[in-house]
Amino acid sequence: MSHKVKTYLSNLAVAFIAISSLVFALFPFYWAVATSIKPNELLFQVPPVWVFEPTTKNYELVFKDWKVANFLTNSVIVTSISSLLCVGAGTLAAFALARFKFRGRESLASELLSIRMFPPVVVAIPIFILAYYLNLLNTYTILVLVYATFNIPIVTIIMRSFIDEIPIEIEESGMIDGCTRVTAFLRITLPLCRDAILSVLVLSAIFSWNEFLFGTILTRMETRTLPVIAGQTMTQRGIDWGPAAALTVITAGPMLLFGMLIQKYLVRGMTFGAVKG
Amino acid sequence: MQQRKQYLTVLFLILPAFAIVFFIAIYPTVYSFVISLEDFSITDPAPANFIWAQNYVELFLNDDRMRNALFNTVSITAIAVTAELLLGLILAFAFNQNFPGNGIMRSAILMPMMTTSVCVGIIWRLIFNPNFGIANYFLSVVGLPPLLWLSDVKVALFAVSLADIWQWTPFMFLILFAGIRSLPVAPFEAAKIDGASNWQLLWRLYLPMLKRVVLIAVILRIIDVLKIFDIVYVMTKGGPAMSTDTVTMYIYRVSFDHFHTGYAAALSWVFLVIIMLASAVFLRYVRYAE
Amino acid sequence: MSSTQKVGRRKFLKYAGAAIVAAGVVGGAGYYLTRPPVGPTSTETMATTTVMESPTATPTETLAARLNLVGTVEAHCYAKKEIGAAPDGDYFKKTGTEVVVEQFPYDPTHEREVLELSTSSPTYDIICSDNFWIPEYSSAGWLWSLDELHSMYPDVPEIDWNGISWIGSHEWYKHYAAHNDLCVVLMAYRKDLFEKYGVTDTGGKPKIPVSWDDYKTTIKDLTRDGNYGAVYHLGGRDAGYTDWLVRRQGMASVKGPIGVYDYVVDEKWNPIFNDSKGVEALEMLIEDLKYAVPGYLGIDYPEAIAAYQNGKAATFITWSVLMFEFDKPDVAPLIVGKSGYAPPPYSEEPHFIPGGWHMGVNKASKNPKDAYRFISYIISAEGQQAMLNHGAVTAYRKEFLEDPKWIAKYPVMEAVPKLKNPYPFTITGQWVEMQRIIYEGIAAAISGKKKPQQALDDASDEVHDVLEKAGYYQ
Repeated sequence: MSHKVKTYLSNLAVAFIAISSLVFALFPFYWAVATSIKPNELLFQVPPVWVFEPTTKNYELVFKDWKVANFLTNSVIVTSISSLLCVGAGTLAAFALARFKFRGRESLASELLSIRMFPPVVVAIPIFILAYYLNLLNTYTILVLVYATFNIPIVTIIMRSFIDEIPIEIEESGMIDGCTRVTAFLRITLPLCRDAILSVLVLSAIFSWNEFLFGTILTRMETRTLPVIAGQTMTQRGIDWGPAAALTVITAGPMLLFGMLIQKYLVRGMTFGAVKG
Repeated sequence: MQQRKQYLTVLFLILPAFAIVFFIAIYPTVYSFVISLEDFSITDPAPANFIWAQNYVELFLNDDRMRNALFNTVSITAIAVTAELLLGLILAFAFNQNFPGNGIMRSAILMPMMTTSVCVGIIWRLIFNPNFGIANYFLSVVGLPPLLWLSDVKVALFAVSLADIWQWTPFMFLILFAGIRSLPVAPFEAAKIDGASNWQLLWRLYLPMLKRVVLIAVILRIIDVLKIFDIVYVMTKGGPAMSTDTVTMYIYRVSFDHFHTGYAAALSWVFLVIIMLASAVFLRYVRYAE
Repeated sequence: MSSTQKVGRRKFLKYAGAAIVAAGVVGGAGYYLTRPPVGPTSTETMATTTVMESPTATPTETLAARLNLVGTVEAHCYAKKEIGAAPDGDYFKKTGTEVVVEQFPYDPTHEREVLELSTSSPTYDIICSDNFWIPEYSSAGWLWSLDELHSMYPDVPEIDWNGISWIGSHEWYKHYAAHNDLCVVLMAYRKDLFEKYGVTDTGGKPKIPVSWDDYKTTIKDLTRDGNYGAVYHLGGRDAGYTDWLVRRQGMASVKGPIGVYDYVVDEKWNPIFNDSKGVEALEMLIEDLKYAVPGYLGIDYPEAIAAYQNGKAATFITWSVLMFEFDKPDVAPLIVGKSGYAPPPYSEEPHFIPGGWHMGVNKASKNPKDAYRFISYIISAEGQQAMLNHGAVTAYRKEFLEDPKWIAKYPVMEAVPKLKNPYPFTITGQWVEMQRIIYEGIAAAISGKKKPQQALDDASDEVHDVLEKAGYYQ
C-alpha cells in the first residue's frame, strides 16, 4: 500500500477511535441529562423519545425540597480539606520513603498500600464504633480523616515513584548552598513535582467527592454529602429516576469543572517517573 | 549524631501520614481480627465466645457462597481490568496523534471517571432495563435480538463489568497516555530511520518501555476492582441467582443482614490476604521489570 | 550565587503566597470544624436542629423538649414529620414536644438502626421498623417492652390496642412495637385490559381469577400484543420470596399457631416449606413465568412497578402499599384509574400475608416516657386522623378500615374487606437469614441450576442449621 493510503487509513482509524470513544463515554451522561429533564410519562417510552418539551421539575424538587445546596456545600468542604490533607501528608511521607534509607522502609510502604486494600464494607462497623466513642459522629472531622486514610497510600506511592526519578543531585546542590535536606526538598524538588501533585490532588478529590458508604453511616442530616443523597433516590416503592438523574448531573458537575481546569497538568503529572525527555 | 538527626527528620516527615492512617485503621484492624476468632453476633446480647479458628475452618470447607463470590469477583476483575487496559492503550495511542480538538476531547473522555459509583450504577441500570432500556433499543436498531442484561444469569456479570469499564477506562487512558508522552523521542526516531514499521515500533519499543507504567496502573486497578461494591449493590445486589455476587456483597450481607459479624470478619481477612498476595506478586514483577 | 538568590526570592514569594492561601484554607476549615454544623431547614427529608422551648407545660409534669425518630418514607414518616414539627405540628401544639424525623431508604434505615442500637446510642428515641426487624431488635434487647413502659408510667395514656385493627399485624408485636400501617399482599389488575381481551364474566365485568389454575389461564389469555399477563419481581430477596410464599400459603391447608406456623416452619421450628405443596408452588410459579414480563429474575420492586405502571403487565401481585401509586396521575399517568384490586388467588383456603411498619422505643433512649406518649398519640384516633390529614395513605384503626366512605376514597382498599386468615411471617430474629436462604433456593430453581425439589431440600437443610445454631432446638 502506498504511504499516502496508509496515512489516510491510520488517520481514519484514529478519528474513528476518538469519536466512538467520545460517544461511548458521553452517551450515558447525555442520557442522564435527558432523563433529568424528561416529563415522567415519557421516561419509559420505547422507542425512546428524543425530542420533547423539557421540564425542570426534577431540579426544582432536588434544590427546593431536598435542599441539595447544603449537601453540595458539605461535599465541597469535606473533599477539599481531606484532599489537601492527603496530598500534604502523603507528599512528605513520599519524600521520606524516597530519599532516606532506613530500616523497615519497604515494609512501611507496603503496610501503607495494604490499607488501601481494605474493602470499606469490612471496616464499616468498627469505624462506626470508633467514631461513636470519640463523639465524632456527624462531624466533618471523621469524614475527612477516613477519606484521608484511604487516599494517603495512593498519594504516597505515586509521589514516591515520581520523586525517585528526580536525581538527588539537585537537592544536594541546594544543600551545598546552605539548605537543609527538607528545605532543599521544599524549594527545589517540590516545584518540579507540581504536575504530579495536581494529579494526585485530583485523584484524592475524586475519591472523597464520590464516596458513598462512610458518608451514609457516619453522618446525619447536617454533614451528609451528595452521593448519599443520590443513593436515597432508591426507595422500595421505586427508584426516583428523574431526581436520580438530576443528582447525577449535579454530583458530576463540580468534579468535571475541576478536572477540565487542571486537565493540562494531569497528563504531565501521571508519568510515575518514567524517564524524562 | 547525624544519624539520629536523620532518624528524627524521617520520623517527622512520615508522622502526619502515618498518624492519620493508624489512628483510623488500627482499631478496625485489631477489632475485626479479634472478632473473627469469636462467634460474635452484633444482635446477640450474650458475650461472644472465642471459637478460635472455627470460622476459618468453616469458611474453607463449607462455604459454597464464598467460592461463588470469589469466582465472580475474580471474573469481574479479570474482564474489567483487561478491557480497561486494552481500551486504554488504544485510546492512548490514538490521542497521541495530533488532531484538532485533541485537548477538548481528552477532557471529555475523562468524565466517566469523575462520576459517583452509585450514579453510575443507577444510570446503567436504567440503560440495561430489559423492557424500557436504551441498550435493547440500540440492539433492535441494528437488528440484534434483545438481551436480558442484568436479568440474565449468563450476561449479568459482563453487564456489571461493562459499567465498571465505562467508568474507569479513562483512568487507564490517563496513565498510559502520560506514560507515552513522557517517553524519550530519540529511540523512536532512530528506529524510524532504520525503517521500522508501526507494528514493530509498537511491540519492540513502546510496550517494553511502558512496562513499568502499565504494571502500576494494572495493580492499582486490580486492588480497586476486587473491592467493587457500589455498582453491584445498585445494579444487581448480587443477582440474578447469585451470578454477580461479589465478595464484598457477600460480606455486607453476612454482617448487616444476617448479623454474623464474627464470620464476616473472618471472610474479610481471608479476602484481604488474597488481595495482598495478588498485589505482592505484581509488585515483585514491577521491581523485576526495572 | 546571585542567580540562585534571585530564584530563591521569587520562589520564596510564591511559597509565601501559597502559604497564606493555605493558612486561609486551614483557618477556614478549622472554623468550620469547630463550630457546630447548622442543618438545613426542612420539608421532605431534612431535620431541624433548633430546639424550641416548650410552651407552658401541664402543671403535673415536664415533657421532653425533643424526640428523635428514624424511619423510611414507606413508613409514612413524612406524615409523622409534619405532625411532630415545630411550630405548627399537631403533636407539638398539643404537648410542646418537638419530634424530629429522619428518613432514609429501606436498607440504609435498617443499617442505621442496627448500628445505632447495637452501640446503645441514645441518638434516636423512636424507631420505625419493618415488621420482621422487630424480633431482631427485641431478641437483642434493644427495645423497651411497651408493657413495661406502661406499668412504669401509668399516667401516660396507654396505647389503644383495642382500637387497632389486627388485620395488619399480629398480637405478638404489641410487646415491643405498635404498628401504624396496613400492608398486605394483593393482586392489582387492569380492568380495561380484562374487558378488552374478553376475560369477563357474564355481566361483562372482569373475571377475577380465584384459584391459581384460573390465574394461569387468565394471564395466558392476557399475554398478547407485546404485553404480558403478569409481572414478577424475582430479583430481590423480599420481592422474590413474596412471589413464592403467596402461592405456597394458599395451597396448604394445615393450621397451627399463628406467628410460628406460617407454612415455612412448624410449631417445633422444623422447616416444612419443602413439602410437596411447597415444591408444587415453586413448579407452578416457574410454569407461569412464561406469561410474565421478561427479565423477572433480575428485577426488584422498582422495575416491576415501572413495568406495571407503563402498561406492560395486566396483573401484579405484590404489597398493597406499593399500589397506592398506581392511581396518582403524576406518578403513573398511563394507568390512572384503570386498576382494580382483589385478594390474591388461592388453591385450598384463602390466606393473606400481612406486613407493615411498627414503631418501637430505643432501650437507650433518654426519654422513654415521652417516646411512649408519642406512639400512644399516633395510635389514637386523633393521631390516626392527623396522619391521614398529612398524606399517609394507610389506616390502622378499626373505624377507618371498616368505614365504607374511607374505603371508597382509596381504590386499593376495596380488596381489604375480602381478606381472610392472616398468616404473618415467622416471628424470629433469624427470619431475614431464613428468607435469604429460601430465596436463593427459589432463584436457583428458576434459573435452572437445580431442580425445584432439590433446591428447596438444600434450603431446608440450611435453614435447619441456622435455627439450630440459634438455639431453637434445645
